[in-house]
Amino acid sequence: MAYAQPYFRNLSTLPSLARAAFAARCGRRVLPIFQDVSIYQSDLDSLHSVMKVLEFAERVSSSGVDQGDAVVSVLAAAQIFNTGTEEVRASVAAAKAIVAAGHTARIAQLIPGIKAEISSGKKNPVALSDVDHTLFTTAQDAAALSIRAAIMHNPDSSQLIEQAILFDVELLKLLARTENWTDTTLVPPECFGPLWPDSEPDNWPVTYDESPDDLGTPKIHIEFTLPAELDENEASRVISSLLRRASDLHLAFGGNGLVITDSHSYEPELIEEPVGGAR
Amino acid sequence: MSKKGTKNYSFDLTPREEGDKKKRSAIEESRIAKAVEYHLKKTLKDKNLSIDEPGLIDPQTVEVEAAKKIAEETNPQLFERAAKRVRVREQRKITSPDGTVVETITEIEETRSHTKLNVETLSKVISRITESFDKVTELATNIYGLAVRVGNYFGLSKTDAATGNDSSAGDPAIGHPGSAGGGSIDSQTQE
Repeated sequence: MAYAQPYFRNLSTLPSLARAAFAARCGRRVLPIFQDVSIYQSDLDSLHSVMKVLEFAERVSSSGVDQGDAVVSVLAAAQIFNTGTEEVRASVAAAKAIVAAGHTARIAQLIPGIKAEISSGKKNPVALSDVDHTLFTTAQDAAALSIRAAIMHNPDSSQLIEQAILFDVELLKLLARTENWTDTTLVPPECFGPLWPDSEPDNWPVTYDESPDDLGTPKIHIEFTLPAELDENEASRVISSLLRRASDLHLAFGGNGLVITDSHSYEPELIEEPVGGAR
Repeated sequence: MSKKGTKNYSFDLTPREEGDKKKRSAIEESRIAKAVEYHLKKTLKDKNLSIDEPGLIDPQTVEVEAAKKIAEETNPQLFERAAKRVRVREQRKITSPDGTVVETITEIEETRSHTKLNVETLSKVISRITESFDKVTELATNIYGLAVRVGNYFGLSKTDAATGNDSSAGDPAIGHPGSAGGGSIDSQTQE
């Protein structure tokens, strides 16, 4: 598979869990295409398997290791994919993108162990470059297959998905550099923001995997402590700066900025210790 | 009983409703908010801008803060930890004429005396705070720069986007800590 997109090259500079997070993100973006077709075809077994792979990939990037990787091999080996209409082929490409994300996660969680074996002399350093290259190509596959799925589903989505992937790669590069990420730095899905920084492609399928209960007005609650001895003006300045930056971040991620809906300050209080169950 | 040494600040932030630049699904709105929350909290945690920083803030104060959290969140683990740092000084039972205990009054005291932050420790705390907020600033600035590079599709002016200009110091639009909220955080970049 030939990859023309120059931003794919940047994937090789990312730490392993960041690559896994990126691949999972590519899969998450096109999941609705697969969901749409499999629900229409009542193929819920395939849907559950594919979603398990995606969740596995996201758990690995969020927590470093996960035991649920067997399903990736099973799914990759199984011939569950078929050909048919353009819509079906788009869903197949989406599922393959997710399986590629699963492979990326499986490999990413091996990297720290391989590095440890190399440093203890049990393994040849060449082993790492081989694994690293595989990690790069599987992450690249996830991205390329997600682009293919999106374009098959809606040819007009080409620019939007490439922009979204570019945004992800640039954001990961930025964070990896400024925060000195390593191969063990956890990268949960919340790190990224919206799947579509510009806007969702037209006629994009509805996502079914989010609980409706979670979809009220988003609210961000932050609570922190400053020494009381800190000068009141200085405290106000840093707090104002923090909140302003929170709003800036919201804007930068494509939101409308934030407003304060509630705030208070208090000095911590000591509470009494309950004794012997007496109330 | 309040304890000097620290001051807690709490803010609830919600996306502004007016001036919708782009129509987004509720899921995408939620993802944006989660990303902001994630980066803010990670920054605070990474830079130890929290009360749970041994060595920087008097341990006694840590436990007072933990106790406060118990009251608010009924967190058993924090309670257990806090309970280790206080002891019962006196316990009195108020009984009714028939001998039934109607109330138990427990007075507690800290197991160690409160030590005020000395100048050196305070300067370390302030230094960490400053560093932390610089980090947030840097992240926002860089994301703004990124937005410009990938096509300025966030609808920001290039000047604001490129500089991540902070004109918020003393911004009267920001709700002052201690007051009820409702203030607008951003009064300039929307223009």
